[in-house]
Amino acid sequence: MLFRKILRDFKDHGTQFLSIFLMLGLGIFIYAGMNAVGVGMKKSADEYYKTCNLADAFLYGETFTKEEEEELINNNLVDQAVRRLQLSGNLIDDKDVVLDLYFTQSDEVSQNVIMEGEKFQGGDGIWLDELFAKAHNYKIGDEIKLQVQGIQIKENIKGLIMNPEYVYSAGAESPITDHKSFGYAYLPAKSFPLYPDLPYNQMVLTSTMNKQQLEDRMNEVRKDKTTMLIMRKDHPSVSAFENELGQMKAVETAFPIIFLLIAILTMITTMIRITTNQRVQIETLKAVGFSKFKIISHYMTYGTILSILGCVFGLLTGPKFLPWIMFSFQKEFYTLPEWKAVLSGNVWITIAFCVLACVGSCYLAVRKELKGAAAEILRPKAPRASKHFLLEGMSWWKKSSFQVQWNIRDIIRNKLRTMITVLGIAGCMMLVLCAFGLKDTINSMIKTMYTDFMRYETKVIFEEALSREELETLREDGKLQFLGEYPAEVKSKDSVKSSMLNVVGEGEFLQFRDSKNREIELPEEGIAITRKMAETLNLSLNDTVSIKNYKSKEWVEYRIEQVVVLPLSQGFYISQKAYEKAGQDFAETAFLSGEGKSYYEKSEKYIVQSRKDVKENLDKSMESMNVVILILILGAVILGVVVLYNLGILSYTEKARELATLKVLGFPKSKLRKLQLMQNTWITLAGVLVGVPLGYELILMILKEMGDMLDLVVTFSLSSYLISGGGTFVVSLVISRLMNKKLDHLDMVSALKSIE
Amino acid sequence: MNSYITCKHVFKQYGKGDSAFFALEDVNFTIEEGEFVVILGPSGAGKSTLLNLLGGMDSPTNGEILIEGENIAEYSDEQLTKYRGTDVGFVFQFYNLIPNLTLYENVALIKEVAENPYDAKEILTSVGLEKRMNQFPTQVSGGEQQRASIARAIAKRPKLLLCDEPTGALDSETGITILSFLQELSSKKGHTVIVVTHNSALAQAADKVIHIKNGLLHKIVQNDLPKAVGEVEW
Repeated sequence: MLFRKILRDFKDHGTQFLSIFLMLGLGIFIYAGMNAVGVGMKKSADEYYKTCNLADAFLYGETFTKEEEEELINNNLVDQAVRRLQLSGNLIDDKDVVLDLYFTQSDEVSQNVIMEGEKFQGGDGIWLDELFAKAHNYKIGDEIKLQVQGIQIKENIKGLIMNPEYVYSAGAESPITDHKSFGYAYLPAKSFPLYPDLPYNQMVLTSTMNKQQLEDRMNEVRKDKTTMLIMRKDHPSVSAFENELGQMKAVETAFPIIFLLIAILTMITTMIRITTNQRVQIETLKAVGFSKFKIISHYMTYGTILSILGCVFGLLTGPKFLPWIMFSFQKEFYTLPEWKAVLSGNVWITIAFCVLACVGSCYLAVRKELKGAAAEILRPKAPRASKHFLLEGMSWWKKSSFQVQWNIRDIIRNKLRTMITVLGIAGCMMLVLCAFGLKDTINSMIKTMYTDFMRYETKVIFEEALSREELETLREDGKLQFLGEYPAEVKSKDSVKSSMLNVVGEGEFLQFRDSKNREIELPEEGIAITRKMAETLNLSLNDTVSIKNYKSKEWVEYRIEQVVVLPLSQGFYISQKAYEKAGQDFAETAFLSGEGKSYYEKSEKYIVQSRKDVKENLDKSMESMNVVILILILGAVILGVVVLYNLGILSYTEKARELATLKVLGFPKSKLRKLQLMQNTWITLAGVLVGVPLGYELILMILKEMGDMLDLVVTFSLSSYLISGGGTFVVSLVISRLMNKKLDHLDMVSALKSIE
Repeated sequence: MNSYITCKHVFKQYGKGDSAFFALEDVNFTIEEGEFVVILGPSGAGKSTLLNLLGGMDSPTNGEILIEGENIAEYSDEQLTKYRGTDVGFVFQFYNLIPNLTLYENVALIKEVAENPYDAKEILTSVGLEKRMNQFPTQVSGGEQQRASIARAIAKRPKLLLCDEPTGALDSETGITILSFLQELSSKKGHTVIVVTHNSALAQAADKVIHIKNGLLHKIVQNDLPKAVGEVEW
């Protein structure tokens, strides 16, 4: 019998229960969905790395010999070692299309997945990046003509491959994945003209040794030869993907919290309202002989049914729908053979928590009634005495209109409801503001980096060391600024880390700034560190730091003389003068120029990078942000509408009698509307104001997950504030209007009846 | 000469077709200015319907209700709202004070709708609530709440005061105080007061008693020498 009562109560409190269901469902939808995306991406990648035997360590340096390979393998701690020669080549037909070419005997470390065609083996042929092949419409058996180091190579395509080192694949010319302009290919060592004496410049290892051990081992085996060691987690592809996962994690936790919180709070208010209204019924049930336990479990059934329905809904839809959307989005940037959606155990914990919270709030609500004790701030309808509040003594109170007085007291009387509403609107504001703020922040980052910091037009990177004569010719130009960009090891107080050491020659193409955004020059002695790098390494001004350029063997000590702020390209910057003063040889690896890209003929010796192209590419990729913004706004609107409508109904039913009385007393509808609108406006305003710092914090949280390489300053443009605030107000006003429709049907006669 | 209030052939029908029934059928009466009128009848007789019509909360299906010659039966919603706001003072069975507002504020809020209301402080003093003015409804007794409710009703200088079972929720002693007060408003201050009740004892105190039964006007009794409320035997 009691079950029928539950069904009828569900009908009577449809709006509240529906909104609890929706909020819970949405919260779990996003949480479980994003969890499935994040955990799935991680699992998919890990599996990919494992089945393909991705290298644990990557060695780069001058010629790796057969003897060295054998010596390394003889040590039990290195399982496998493969030498390969990596060169950058381009299509003969289109010089702008660049390929990383690997000449090797075997691909047993970092194996290629064969998507089509035959296994990689010696002999002849080329194994081509599948996505590149697709973008260029190459098929198995087609001939591809490449130019590498002035040599022309013609090979038939024998296989289409996917390589675990290219989960994130972007060429040096643009940081954005574009399979049309950049790809990779594997070729048997025999295809290289110098066979069998290839100048192998890479060796990939599988090993259980840590970085320090490997480094020591390297020194024994390689002696004076320059070697750079990169561990798997620092590999650009692996770390880019790892950062992406971090962002997923931020979204997964930040957004659902607000939905779940609202759901649980609404559950509390609704249950208290139901049990308060049914006080007489509860007493009757007790009198008829129902045990306390039966009554409590009856009311707990409400929470159980609702929360389980909501969670099941979220759980069934989220992990299906969100991976579908997010993966199609991620596939633009990352390449995995298989994209799986996997749920982690945390989802079950969260669901259990939500169900418990809902059931628990039912328990608390009904227990209060059974005890007969007054629920201090929570009880909405019981005849609670209004109180004078602090500011009433002042003269403004007497002067203010009855609407103002009525609304202020109403808010004070219904603190919890007001709080939830403010929270809901703040959440709405937070999401919208975060959406726009992210866009603003990244736009401003692009501007800071590519307009304020970089003042050049073209950067030319040397693929191989230039001869003395070639450098002389370039220097004669007089307007070029030379750079030496070296991967380096940094020994700080407690650890050794990889970083970049950038030696900056004379010139004005790079404009550094300090943390107060003042333009500064690099010091003539000592080194400058970027702010983010300083944080990561726990270094500050005037500390001493040891840096080892990967080409040299010795550690050199520098004093940190300056902290510079750069959104991208974290690392160390030193002027050529200071570098030479420290006794180091400046070896140019690139130069900056004020001339356009077309001025520099592309050759195998150069990579020509146009600042404008890179910036435009980034700007373009920002357009994909619009999808994220849209999703955030959609979530915000749903949140705002549900919270406002639900609480509006709750507050309306509570006030129906008062409003009916006012109507009998001759208050026109317009005045009643104004009365309602006033409170909504105040609460919305409060919510918008609370939402601003929340939005800011949310962005900070997301940026934090973006990894060590970015140093972003949260930026909001004025229009972002206006659009988010205005949008939130529009949502609030629309709901107010809807609620006001109810005023038309307000039954005056109800004012004459007794208080039930 | 026209009466202050005239009801001519007032019909009120609820529902349509087979389920239609008349809550009021062909009701005719007049009320003069300053009269203390009691509408008597058992519950369900149609008293409340009559009160709703007189108070402008509802319109009759047929007939005329003339207040100082104006037929409010033909008023639009807006006109009715204005009529309720300026011409009618309501006293409810359950007082219907706004719980969020103090007694003073409850009375003062009338200035939002009425054109030339009395000063709230004065009117509350006149009902003996000068010391309770800054308290909230839940902090005072039922009798005091009803007095505040009366103060709110008369503050707007209404053409008529409509009281729906004004003592229904009070103990008899307090009830008598309230009723004498309403009677005095009529006899001493010249207000037109209409009290709806099912308590026939009050009939002896009224200038005019309108008996309603089953939606029909049963009889109208004119008392030439009404007793004071205090002298009535309850």
